[in-house]
Amino acid sequence: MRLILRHAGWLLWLWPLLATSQDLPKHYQKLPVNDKRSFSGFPDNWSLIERAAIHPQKENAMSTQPGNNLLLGKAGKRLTPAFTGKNLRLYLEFQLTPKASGYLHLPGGARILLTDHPDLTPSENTSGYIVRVPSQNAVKAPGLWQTLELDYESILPAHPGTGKVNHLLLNGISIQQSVFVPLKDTSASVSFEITAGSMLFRTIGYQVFEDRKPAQLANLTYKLYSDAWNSRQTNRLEQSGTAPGLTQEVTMGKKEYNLVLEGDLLLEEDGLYTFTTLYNGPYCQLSIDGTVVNDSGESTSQDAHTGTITLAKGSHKLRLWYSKFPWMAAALGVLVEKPGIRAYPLHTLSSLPQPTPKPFIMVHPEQKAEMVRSFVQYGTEKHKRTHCLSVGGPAGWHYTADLNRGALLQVWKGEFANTTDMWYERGEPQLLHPVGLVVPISGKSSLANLPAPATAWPDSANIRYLGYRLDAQGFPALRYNLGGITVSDALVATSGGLVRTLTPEGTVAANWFVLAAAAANITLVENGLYNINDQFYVRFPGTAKPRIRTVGQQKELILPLTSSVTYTLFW
Amino acid sequence: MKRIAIISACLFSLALAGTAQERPQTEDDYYRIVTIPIPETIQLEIGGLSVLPDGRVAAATRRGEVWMISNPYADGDGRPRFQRFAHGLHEPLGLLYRGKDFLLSQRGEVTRLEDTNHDGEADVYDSFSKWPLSGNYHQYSYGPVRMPNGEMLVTLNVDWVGKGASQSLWRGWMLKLGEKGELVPWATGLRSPAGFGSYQGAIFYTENQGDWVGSGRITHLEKGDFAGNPAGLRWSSQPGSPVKLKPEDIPNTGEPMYETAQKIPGLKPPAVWMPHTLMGISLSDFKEDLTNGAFGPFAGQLFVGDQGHSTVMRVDLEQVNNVWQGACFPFRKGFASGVLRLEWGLDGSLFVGQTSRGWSATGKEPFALQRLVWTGATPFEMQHLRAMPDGFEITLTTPADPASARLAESWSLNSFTYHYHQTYGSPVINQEAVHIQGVIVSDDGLKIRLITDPDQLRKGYIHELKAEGLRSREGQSLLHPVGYYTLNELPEQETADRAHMTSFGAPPAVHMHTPPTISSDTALDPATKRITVLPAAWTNGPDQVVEIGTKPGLQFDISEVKVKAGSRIKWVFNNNDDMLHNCIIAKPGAGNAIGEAALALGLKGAELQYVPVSDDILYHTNLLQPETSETIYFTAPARPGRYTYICTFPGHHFMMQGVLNVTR
Repeated sequence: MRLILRHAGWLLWLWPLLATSQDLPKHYQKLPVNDKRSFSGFPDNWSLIERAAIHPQKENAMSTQPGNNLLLGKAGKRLTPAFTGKNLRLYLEFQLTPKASGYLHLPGGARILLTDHPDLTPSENTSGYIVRVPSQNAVKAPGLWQTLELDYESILPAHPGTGKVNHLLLNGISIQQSVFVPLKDTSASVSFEITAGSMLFRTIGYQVFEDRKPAQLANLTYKLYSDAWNSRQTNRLEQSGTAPGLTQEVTMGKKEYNLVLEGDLLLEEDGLYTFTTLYNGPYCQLSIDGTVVNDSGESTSQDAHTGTITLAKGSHKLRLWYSKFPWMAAALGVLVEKPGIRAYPLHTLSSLPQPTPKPFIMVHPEQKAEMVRSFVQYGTEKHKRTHCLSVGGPAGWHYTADLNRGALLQVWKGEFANTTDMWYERGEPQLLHPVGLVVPISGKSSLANLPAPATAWPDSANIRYLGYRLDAQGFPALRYNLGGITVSDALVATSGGLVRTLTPEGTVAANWFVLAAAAANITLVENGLYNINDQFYVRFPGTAKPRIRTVGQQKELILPLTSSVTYTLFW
Repeated sequence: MKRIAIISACLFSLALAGTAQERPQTEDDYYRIVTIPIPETIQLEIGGLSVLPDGRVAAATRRGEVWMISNPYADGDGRPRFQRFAHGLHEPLGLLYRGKDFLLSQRGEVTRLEDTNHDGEADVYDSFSKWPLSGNYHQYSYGPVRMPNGEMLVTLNVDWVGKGASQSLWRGWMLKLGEKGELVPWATGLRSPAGFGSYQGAIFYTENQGDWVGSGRITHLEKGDFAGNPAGLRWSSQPGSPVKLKPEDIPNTGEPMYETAQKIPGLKPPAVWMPHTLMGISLSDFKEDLTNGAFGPFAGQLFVGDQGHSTVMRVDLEQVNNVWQGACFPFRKGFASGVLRLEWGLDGSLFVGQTSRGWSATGKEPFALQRLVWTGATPFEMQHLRAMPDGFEITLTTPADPASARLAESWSLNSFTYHYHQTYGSPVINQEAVHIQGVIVSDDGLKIRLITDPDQLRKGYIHELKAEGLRSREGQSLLHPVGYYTLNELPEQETADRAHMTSFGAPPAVHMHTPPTISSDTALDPATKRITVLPAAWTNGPDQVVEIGTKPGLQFDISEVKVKAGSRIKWVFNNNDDMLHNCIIAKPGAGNAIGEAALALGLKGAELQYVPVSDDILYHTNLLQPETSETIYFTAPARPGRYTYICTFPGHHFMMQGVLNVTR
């Protein structure tokens, strides 16, 4: 986990992917799941269907519709995709039925456990178990689409008989890194095995890698300009010469400049090439044969900037324009990759110094709930939320509330909070980061007065934060004032999710409502149970009267705040 | 029995006198630092401290916890016990005990903590008073502090955006906090007001050097005062603001603050300047000594902490023409970490709460809780330094040797001040020697009157008195022979009777109204040690360009630089920190000695860029403002070795060192 956070920006394929997306991430080749020819044989326990409805809890309640859209597997024989490769990446989008379990088998005989086992304490029964227990349980509830991304090598020249899981991400959370696995069956290839329940697949992508470097640089020269760092000009040539490699070190440690490196890019083969620039500076531009491939602004070398271009075999002109500002040490690197070829550096390694490692400071609830007040960056908002309380439960379910607005911002499960940005040195960002599988809920107040049924839900309702009272387990009940009435808002982590209870201490004026969820899609699973955008479920007790209303492109799940309102969030 | 007791007391005092004559006195002989052991799992980065009447101490930490410490005096088995009372708070920097509950400032609010079920942990966290935040880390919130009349105060630090800024309401202000949580603005112009409270019932606060603040200082805040940093004036038009000044009213001329204040009514000069680096570098909490002598011979005075220097200083205030002013003195150094909070213990000792995370301190520990305890012995000190219309009067704690007091060379008196400008910090300016015409020593040897030409006393100036030649009757020098008196007003009382004066004669001619002089033997040799233009002989330019920056926490961003012996080096030093720094290149192993020598430059330090005269210094930059840069050119030493580069701004050299590895 530590490494991932530190290098998160570095590794392109770690970038979070929308769970709802059926598009493959870049560079993956699609294995059509709705075509039996994608597989070497198609055993009877596998079938193609149009769609399926999977209940999050009821074991044998799956209903399917015949058709030719999704791949459904039940316990029985393995299904083997019709591609071969020893070093590869895999990308899957899948759903599990309750109590489903199975394996993703890998070349060389290693296997990864996939299971609905819900216990949040990682063990050898947790999804992602290889030969080591994963760092946390990142599996989602049955009936929600999930993603798995794997980077794996079964041939390690330095370690015969050993494979290596470079990274394993489940639902965007890194749960395994650099796991060396003893291999026993050199003939084994990728296959899916289901041992209990059913699994539904809608997307399978793969990349098979070869250990070659089809792109090389030659004949590099540099031109060093003394134009100001923010000028985007190359008028004042100060120095030029032959460059020993692609490196910023030709500037001899000058503090501010524009540097242009040019050379021949020699390609052994045609292909779709992706270039990644990594730099400390105000901007950096990479062009090939005069076409701008990458152009990006202020950055540190921990951020990656990519561009893709189709190039033919042969020699091309590469031009890299880098500007350095005075207050940060120079760093410049370019990586190249193409389908089947892992990213490798074109730069001289010393041109891109390793950033200083930071410690990793985490809060971990043990016996009782832990709380942290902090700033929180919610989504892509411009301003930090400044009055936030994050609460971590020993059961592994956690949340953040924006106390200014009375908003339930986000919920997550697994590990609790990364507070490094608060407690390392001055803690200038003062941001808390969730460590586990996070689900954004809403940046808007959870309580609001709607005079008319069509009144838009306000970003910030007329409510006032009063404080909180802790229960015996240390969970706070947040208290707000709604026009003279105090409402308590308590979220308690149980083994089955987060239970939210809103209780007015007195009679609330008419037209106060609770916003349980807001999303592009809200579907009724069964009476009182809603699927929110394929990201989480909300379950109400039978007496509740929630309703879905549509406001523009958005759906809102609301219910009147009369007496106590309770619902459970899980995912 | 009685007789025996008397005899042993006499023997004891003889023994004391005997040892006193044999070795110079140290601070430790009079005030001992006692460390409270902290369990190793607790990060007790103290932001707020409170002494409870039941014998416990409560500490709020920068990681948002409140710890209850039983037996902090380490009686009995010598073991204090820690219990977590509250947690999850956002960097609290204050803690006020109210009997049944606590109030403390988190970044975004004052919170009320109460343990209603008496299980030792707070179960009520009420939002007592809330304010907006910008999201900038520098928006620290301090307090509440209770005044003797029962009123409560909070202060709100400004943002840091390359300069001080007030990006949300009341940042840069002191506010009164009502019993129902209502906030009433009181005064602004505050930059980094970590310490505030009462002195004789009046409100004072301490300030840290920065933009518009030439040096640390203590200011008396009356309703509607503007204490100097204009960021907070952004809100002076808000309803309830007692301040009338607008940001555009504040001239950025660099004239001293006192003189600017004569033209800008409402601008409040400090009661006491605490000269930067000579006294402290980042003032924090203060406490009035109300221990009735349990803490030693300074009852009624102020003790002031310094975070960066890990010290506690002493301030002796007086009111002259209804204006507060007075002197500050060094008092006790050697605390384990950065001194942030001071609280009187029940026994008259002083609890000292400390943290240095992100703001490095001379004391190397990341945090500490210590206690300062008087040993019962009285040091030979200037107890009071008071203004007179024609000089100063010193009251000593023990009698002086009159002969030493009557020597002109025992004394020196200088006055100086600082720029008042937007720039970060200020050099010492307008320095002038003040001629002491003579002294009158009281018969009991406890009072010494220093007589000067009244015209040489300058209002608004800091008067540095050094009494290095003064001796006690036992032959000891003063434990701290220096004091800095800020003279805002001259008292209207009788001048000294010169008939009783021991005259020191006429001043040496050069002393009168001459600009500050640096004698040639102490002057730098800039021609060779600091060359800022490319030498003409370097027709092919430098062989190597080295670029060094800074990192928060007093560090260079590069810890080792490799150069070839005899090569031509262009050395670029970027000060991208928010403090002042220089960069000195020195011989191997010379770093610490040069750092100490820079500290010893005293008043002249800033003028000399904190570059002491030393053959061990090969090259140096000047002292650089935040976000500025300087380039020097030099030839690397011919002899290979591990040379040192270092920042000698006082207090920095322990941390801020790197290796210049000169190779063949």
